[in-house]
Amino acid sequence: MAEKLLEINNLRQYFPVKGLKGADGKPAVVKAVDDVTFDIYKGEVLGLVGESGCGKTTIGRSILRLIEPTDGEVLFNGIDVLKLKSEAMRKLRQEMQIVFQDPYGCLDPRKTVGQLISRPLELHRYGTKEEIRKRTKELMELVGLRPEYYGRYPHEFSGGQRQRIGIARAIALNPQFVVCDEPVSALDVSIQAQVINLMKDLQEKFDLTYLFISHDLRVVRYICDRVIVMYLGRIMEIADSDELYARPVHPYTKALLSAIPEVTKERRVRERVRLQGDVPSPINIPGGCRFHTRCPQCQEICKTTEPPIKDLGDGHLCACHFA
Amino acid sequence: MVKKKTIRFIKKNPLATIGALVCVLFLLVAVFAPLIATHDPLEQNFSNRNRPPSAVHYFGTDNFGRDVFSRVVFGARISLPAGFLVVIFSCVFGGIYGAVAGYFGKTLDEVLMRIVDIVMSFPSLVLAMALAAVFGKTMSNAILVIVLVWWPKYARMMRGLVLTVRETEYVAAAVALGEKKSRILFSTVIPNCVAPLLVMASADLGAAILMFSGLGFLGMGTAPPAPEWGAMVSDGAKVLNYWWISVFPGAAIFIVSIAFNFIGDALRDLLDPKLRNLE
Repeated sequence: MAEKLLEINNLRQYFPVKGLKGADGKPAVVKAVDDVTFDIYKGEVLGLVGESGCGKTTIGRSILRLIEPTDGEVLFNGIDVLKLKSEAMRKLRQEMQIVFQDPYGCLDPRKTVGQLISRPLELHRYGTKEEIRKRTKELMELVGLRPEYYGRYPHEFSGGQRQRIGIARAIALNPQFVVCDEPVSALDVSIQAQVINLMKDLQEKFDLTYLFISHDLRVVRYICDRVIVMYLGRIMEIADSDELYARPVHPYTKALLSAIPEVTKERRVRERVRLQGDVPSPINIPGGCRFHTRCPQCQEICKTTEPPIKDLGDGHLCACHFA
Repeated sequence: MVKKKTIRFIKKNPLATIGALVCVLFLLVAVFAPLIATHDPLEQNFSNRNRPPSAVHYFGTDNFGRDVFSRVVFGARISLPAGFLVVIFSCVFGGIYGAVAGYFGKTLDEVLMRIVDIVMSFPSLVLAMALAAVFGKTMSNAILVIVLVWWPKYARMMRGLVLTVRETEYVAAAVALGEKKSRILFSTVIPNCVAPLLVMASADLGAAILMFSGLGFLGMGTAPPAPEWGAMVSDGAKVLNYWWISVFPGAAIFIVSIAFNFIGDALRDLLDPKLRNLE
């Protein structure tokens, strides 16, 4: 098995809710990420999927300490990231970058493209002014932006181009690990493919490791080697991409996969797993298996006992009593 | 090319153009006051008191026989710099103060903003008068006093702006790159908050001049012989028969204030980067 780049152990991210009391009388908390453990291997693209509000983005940001996790461990090449002092943390950030979801919000509107892309180089002392300028132009070409655009402002670009700027900035320092936080969900479908291909190319070229957060299962299938399925702040299933799409075990994964629209020649009516109701509030997570309120296979045990994560072999993990 | 752009700008912003022209005019008057004034603004001539406007004294003469026109002209040398200084000091101090409070948040924010609340809970003119009475009547004290009662509103506004900007993704991106907090504050957060602050500042220039004149009117600004507009209005108000003594300096205050307001409005459009660089 490949080398571990990151180990995430028992990561928790709770947000207190102001002015709201829980059932036990203590201040209520939103358990956005609730005891999550997984590894990320060197050079892989690990998908993280789930419904809106299941904690995908929160995980990505907690790992990078853009928000401080409540509890847990994030080991990057064996170093506990969460324990680093601010100075060391800032140094380490060269190795861990992020591509944001919103290409309109993630670029400072008062800086030019050149300034935006060259800033990480400047910050981490890449070289002289000339070298930085040269490297910036290289990066722009690498992500498919014309170097003549150096002095332009972000608002002069389309969503896809802006996302390319964001990508160039993220890979400027040759990081080992990049969190891709729904990098294409804000883009038009036609542009999505281009940006996804760009990200895939860069990943292969520079041997990057991605944590690819998305709710688009087709995109995930296309780009990811392994996939984690999350529900309400906890991992439901982890498996290799092919395995997961071919043989989903968890009822939630099955439901998600059956929701992918498909074009087929025969007018075959696919078996569609329909989930009832909405995602329960993360303030008030159901006892037992947190999916039991919507699970089509729910039994008595699911209502009382939280299922442990079972190893089904070959790195296929699943949190279901009936796996 | 440049000319075309200028013409289009004037057509689009007629009020701003008028405002700018008026301000430039007053600035020129302030700079070239000795050349423009027809008389010494301090020279008294008791045989020639309270004369109405005429070819010799364009704006008439006041209670002491001083030439009102020359006094209004020299008054620009007091009121304009005073207004600018008040706004610059308030804006810089209040802006940084509010930005620090908003960006670092938590206890620091609470403490800093309660101080702001305390200052703001006093009526500003009354507080300014009280402070002026303590410090003594000089121009620099008058400016200082107005700054002391004015900076809180910049602090509040800046804090509000910073609170929204600090949650943006481009600030998160800066953190992710490993920028220092202080650098994020000064090179990312503040530049993105500054436009509304400048608009407020330029619109406030008029009010600052007004307040400075107000202190002068109440006898709390500059010491008497100085040709300060507010003080001149006050002089004239005592002898209402001779309207010209008050009306001309009053008109100067009014025109300058409103001109700066026009400029403030136009500045808001200009400072928006989305509108800049557009063909």
